[in-house]
Amino acid sequence: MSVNLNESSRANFFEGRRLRLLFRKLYRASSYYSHAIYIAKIVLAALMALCLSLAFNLGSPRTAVFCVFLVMQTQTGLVFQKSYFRLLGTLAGATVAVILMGAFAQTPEMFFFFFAIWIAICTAGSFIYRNFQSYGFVLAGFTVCFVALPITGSPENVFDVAVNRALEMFVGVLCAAFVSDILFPQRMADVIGQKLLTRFKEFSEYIRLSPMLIKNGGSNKEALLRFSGDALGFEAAHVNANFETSNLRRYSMLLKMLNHDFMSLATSLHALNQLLRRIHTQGNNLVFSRLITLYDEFSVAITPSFMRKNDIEVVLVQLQEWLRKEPFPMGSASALMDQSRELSRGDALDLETGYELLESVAQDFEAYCALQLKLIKAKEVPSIQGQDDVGLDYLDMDQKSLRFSTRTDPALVLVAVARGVAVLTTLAAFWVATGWTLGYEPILNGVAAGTLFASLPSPVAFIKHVLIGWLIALPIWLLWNFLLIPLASDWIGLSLILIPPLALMAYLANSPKWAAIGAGLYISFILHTSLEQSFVIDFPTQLELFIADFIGFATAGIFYILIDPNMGGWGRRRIVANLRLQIADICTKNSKLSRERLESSSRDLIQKIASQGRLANESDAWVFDWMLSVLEIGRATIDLKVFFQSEGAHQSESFLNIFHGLKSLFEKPSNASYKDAFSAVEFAIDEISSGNLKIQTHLESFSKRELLSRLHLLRSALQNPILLSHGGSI
Amino acid sequence: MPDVVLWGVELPFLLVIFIVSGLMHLIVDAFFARKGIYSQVWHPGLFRVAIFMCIFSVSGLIFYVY
Repeated sequence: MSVNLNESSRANFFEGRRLRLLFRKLYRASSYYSHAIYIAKIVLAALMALCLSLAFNLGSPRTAVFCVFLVMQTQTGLVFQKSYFRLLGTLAGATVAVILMGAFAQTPEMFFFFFAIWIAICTAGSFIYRNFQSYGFVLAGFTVCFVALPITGSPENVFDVAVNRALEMFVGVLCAAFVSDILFPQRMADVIGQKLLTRFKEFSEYIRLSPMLIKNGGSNKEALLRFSGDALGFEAAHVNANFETSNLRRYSMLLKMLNHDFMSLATSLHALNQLLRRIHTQGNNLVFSRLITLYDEFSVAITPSFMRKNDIEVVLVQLQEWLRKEPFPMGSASALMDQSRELSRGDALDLETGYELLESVAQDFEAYCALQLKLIKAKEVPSIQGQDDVGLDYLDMDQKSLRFSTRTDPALVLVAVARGVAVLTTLAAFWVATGWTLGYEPILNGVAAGTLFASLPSPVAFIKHVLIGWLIALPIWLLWNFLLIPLASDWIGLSLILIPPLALMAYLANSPKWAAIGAGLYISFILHTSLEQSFVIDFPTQLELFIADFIGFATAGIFYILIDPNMGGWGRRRIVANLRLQIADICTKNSKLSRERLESSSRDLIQKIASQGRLANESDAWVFDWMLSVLEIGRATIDLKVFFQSEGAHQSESFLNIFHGLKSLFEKPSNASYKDAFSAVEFAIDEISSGNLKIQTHLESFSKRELLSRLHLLRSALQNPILLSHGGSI
Repeated sequence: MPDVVLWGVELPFLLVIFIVSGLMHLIVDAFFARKGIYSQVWHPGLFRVAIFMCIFSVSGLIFYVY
């Protein structure tokens, strides 16, 4: 009997192992699968675009092929969005090219003057907008080069060239869209729900582990940064997925709410962790142990007992039960007083703040949980009768307040503009000075590279890799151009011959490690092989073109090195200055106070750091700490201001002092202004809790509690050591 | 059908029909997405393109045949 049992368990063991292996294989294969799909998509669309352009007798079919390579993404929504802005950018650029050529064909100086202004406008636009909008602006800038410069000798052709370019773009975009939406649909909408669920699970795990981390004195800033980057990435994904054929648009409002709740929860949680860490190292042990016990209880409440599909439902019920038990003695102030009678004033305030923060974290988490659950349920029921928009019951919320806002530093925009214009003028001067017939070629590539890569984390490294790819492509296109392509007798033959290099380049461009080299390869290959109606064989010109393009890219690279905002930490200091300015704005201006605005634009400001997903060095960590601190303080300040605006309460002297103190602290941080702000907050706390405040008559006990809790939060957030780093030391 | 002349550039009338059908399709598409119709069809992308082709060819036929 026992032998049998053993055997069956062994069989089970092997069965399990085999299953595991199978799953592992499938998992690995799935990444190959998505790679393969991507390559198939790009090659098919490129060849379609090539054949269509040849069939329609368009001037340079290579533009259509190039367009496919640039536009193609792994997911359909991204392809649509990028195509859309590419088309808009091309149309704008082609129109401007026609106008400029029409007006200044005889006077090259004027032409370049206005062209430089146009490049400046477009570069600025590309910095103010995000993602593919930014791409559209860049494109509008350098399309002028592509349309106008090659035909400076025969300006009367400009209209035909412009129309041709727009048509080629259109063919490329249509082919890419057709292939990725109809032949190989890979929808973002399918992925978004899954991603949100993963984020939910990761975040609850993060909360669960927080008490332990605090007890051990550690912190997990990288995870927090990742969540910050997620919030931005999700916003982009959500916008892009709206282009897809799917039901996602129905949940639009719900998704926005979810991201909003997520960001606000992340901020509250950080404030709580920060406070606990401070009490642990400097404060009273009794206070710490009381708070951490409660925190532990909370983290137990959000731990699901089974890993099941309806985890979230279980967690939500547990959490609501825990909240119903009223672990927070906040409702009765006297209970708290009893607890904190033996404590010193500072410790008592810490204890109160801890309670309030924990309560707000628990409530925020409950809201987040409920929304996530709602989304899952909404997705399970494909169409709810008589209900158009699943987020409909949130419509009473101000929709505008949920708008994701971005914030750009004007100084960084100016730097980018200066760089773009410098590349243009240098190369134009080179052209005029040398009188080289192909002198316009470096301008095309230089301006394109000099504006397009500006938003990358490290443009210089990218250009370096592009140039390496460029050189590797040389033997490949020589082989294809002079030996293989002449073998083709018709379009099918040409397509078959082109498959191997296109597939290789698509593969490289899609793998994160080789992306830049792949880009260099396909730019070089497509630009230099003969893809015209009639085959051209002209080695010297081809080589001249190759050198010209190389000069263009290299010049752009040099200007990225010369005009680099990150040099000496200047860019980082600017980011922090802008973060701080937000608080000063909140304190002085009366309009446009919204948490969403603060949260999203702060996260947007540190986008370059957040999109890397890791804190590369000290200065990145410094910027990130500042952002978290600004979020904490900004939220409390917004709440206080909104309270005074809505209740019709007269702003009392002590509150005006707080706003004034914060404003001067965040405009010009110094020890004196820090002390002023801090004492103003403490003074207001004393006034309210002792009942001396004149606005007391307006206040119900509830709102008095609210006010106090915001003040406590401010006091705690102001104790962050980063505020004393004065913005100068990096 | 006569060509449309725009600032001295002759454009085929079919282009105008194309743009107008595109705009009409945007409305239809938004309606379908809100009503959740795309989850009921086998291939939403193909369905969407087919709907556009229907609108475009019907309006083209109306102008060019009658």
